[in-house]
Amino acid sequence: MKKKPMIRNIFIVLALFLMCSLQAAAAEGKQVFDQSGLMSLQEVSSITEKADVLREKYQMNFVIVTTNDAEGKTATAYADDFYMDYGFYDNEEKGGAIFLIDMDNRELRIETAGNMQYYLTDDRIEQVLDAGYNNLTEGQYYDCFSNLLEQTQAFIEEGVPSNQYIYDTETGEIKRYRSIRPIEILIAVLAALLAGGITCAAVIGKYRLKWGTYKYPFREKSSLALTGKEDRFINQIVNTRHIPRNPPPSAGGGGGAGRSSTHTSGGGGSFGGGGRKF
Amino acid sequence: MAAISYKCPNCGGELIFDPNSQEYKCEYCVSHFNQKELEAANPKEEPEAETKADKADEAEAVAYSCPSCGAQIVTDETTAATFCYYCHNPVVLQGRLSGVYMPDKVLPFKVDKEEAQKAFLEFTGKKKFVPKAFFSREQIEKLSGVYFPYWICDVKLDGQMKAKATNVRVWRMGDTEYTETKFYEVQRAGGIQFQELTRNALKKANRQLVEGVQPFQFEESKDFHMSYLSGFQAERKDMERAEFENEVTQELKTYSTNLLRESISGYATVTPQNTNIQIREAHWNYMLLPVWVLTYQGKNNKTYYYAMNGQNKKVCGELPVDYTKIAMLFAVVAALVFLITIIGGYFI
Repeated sequence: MKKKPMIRNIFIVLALFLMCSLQAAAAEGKQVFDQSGLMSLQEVSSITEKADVLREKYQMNFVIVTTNDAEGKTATAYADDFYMDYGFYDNEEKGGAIFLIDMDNRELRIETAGNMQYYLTDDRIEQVLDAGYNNLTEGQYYDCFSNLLEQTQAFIEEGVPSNQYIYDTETGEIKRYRSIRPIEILIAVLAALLAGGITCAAVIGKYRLKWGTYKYPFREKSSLALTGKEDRFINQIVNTRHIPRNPPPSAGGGGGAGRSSTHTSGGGGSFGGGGRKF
Repeated sequence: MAAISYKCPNCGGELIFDPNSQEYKCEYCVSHFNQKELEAANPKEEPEAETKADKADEAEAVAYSCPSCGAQIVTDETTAATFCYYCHNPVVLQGRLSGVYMPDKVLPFKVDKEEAQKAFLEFTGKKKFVPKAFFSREQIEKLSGVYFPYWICDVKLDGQMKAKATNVRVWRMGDTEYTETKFYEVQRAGGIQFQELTRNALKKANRQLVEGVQPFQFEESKDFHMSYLSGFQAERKDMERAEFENEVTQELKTYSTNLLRESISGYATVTPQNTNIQIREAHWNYMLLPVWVLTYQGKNNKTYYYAMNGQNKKVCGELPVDYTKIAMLFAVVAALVFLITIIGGYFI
């Protein structure tokens, strides 16, 4: 999907003027929609390039949207609908995220779909928001998006957190990310070698009479008649421990570090995400 | 001291003990005789007179003459029954088992040679990791039945044990968890009886093997008669009970500690501190027990030794290992465990 930057720039300019024809543009793979005109043309083309590089690399959508009019929706709903309406939800990529600056609701919003939900857990989304929030409040919108993308990329590089799971906020359903990590392969190899080794050693040892030979079965061949029985209490100690009132939830439980909360959008898509007012 | 053969009253052939009928049979005229009939037919030897006459022999105690053919029979010092080298007739060396060497009891063979061969082949057949066709019938025919000398020890002793014990109780009250640990000093004393602790009493025997074929059912043991040895080899003891007493006392102490420890209940932890035992009564029986022995020249030029319990066919001995089969076992087990672990890892 590589194109010459020149052609794409022209396309963006056109798109700015003809907002209602954006749908068509999305079909062509356009990812940046600065509907509020918060960024200069150079900035738009630069951020577009960044988003395209990321899409190329990770096969996921990196959609960047600004809007002045949320059409009366919440920022979440607007982002979800935008992502779905522009066909990102069911294009050939494996998932993605939409980064929205909603000037109407004064909110910065990140919504995740597909595989992106594995990488961006609730905690990580907070951290991604952290990365761009300062720039946003200072009006540096390009820097804001740029930092959001950078932080997202950093998390993708880091991989899916080992304790990641997807929690559907509406149904309460929990879905775990299934994968085999290198450490698990290592453990499996070690366990396999150990089990094989022990089995073979057991056979060889038995054949070589190292074990399994006759032992005097003293329990069967003996009888005990107790004549003395004395149980003397010596002393006792009592230890006390304060029990914390609200024990912190365990990682697997109600809202650990690895949780990615999801909801279903009005269009029927499953999205994770988080946002922050400004 | 004389070498004797038991003669058939009907034909004069040699009588041997037959494990199947537990009687004596003549291989020539197929007659069977019980203990009484045999003793009536073969006049009781007068060991006293002969022993005196042969005192000089006893010092050397290696050469006898065969009562059947007159050839010289050369034996070890401990041999009590064997076969004539020349005429292959069974010979019992009577003087070897008289006086202090007279066993208290004997456990006659119950498994005859043919059965022993079959049992041995079955035993090796069941062993999956023995190289294929390692054991051949021809070699197994060299199986020989030997009465080995054993000491069987019945002991009564008093044991005392001191142990430390703890009990733990945990409860909650409000925000506080209480853990109470109570310490106890526990003593137990009692009379313990051990039965049938068995030791091989022949130095040259492969101790691991002849003790490894245990257990024997001692209820089936008989009062000793020389004639039981006819048709088998026999060895007399050359180790006295004194040689075992220390070792046996140590062993009994370990067993007693375990038994007394197991009599303590109702505690979370029990740590034995010390155990004392005083042996009140120790009864040592010197017995001859039946063992089939086999020396097997392996195809790998290694010699393997086997012993089989002459009463219940239990086999003891080092087996050759087929390392290709072991490697396959390793591969299968490792692959299985690897798969299970990986699948487990995927779902975690």
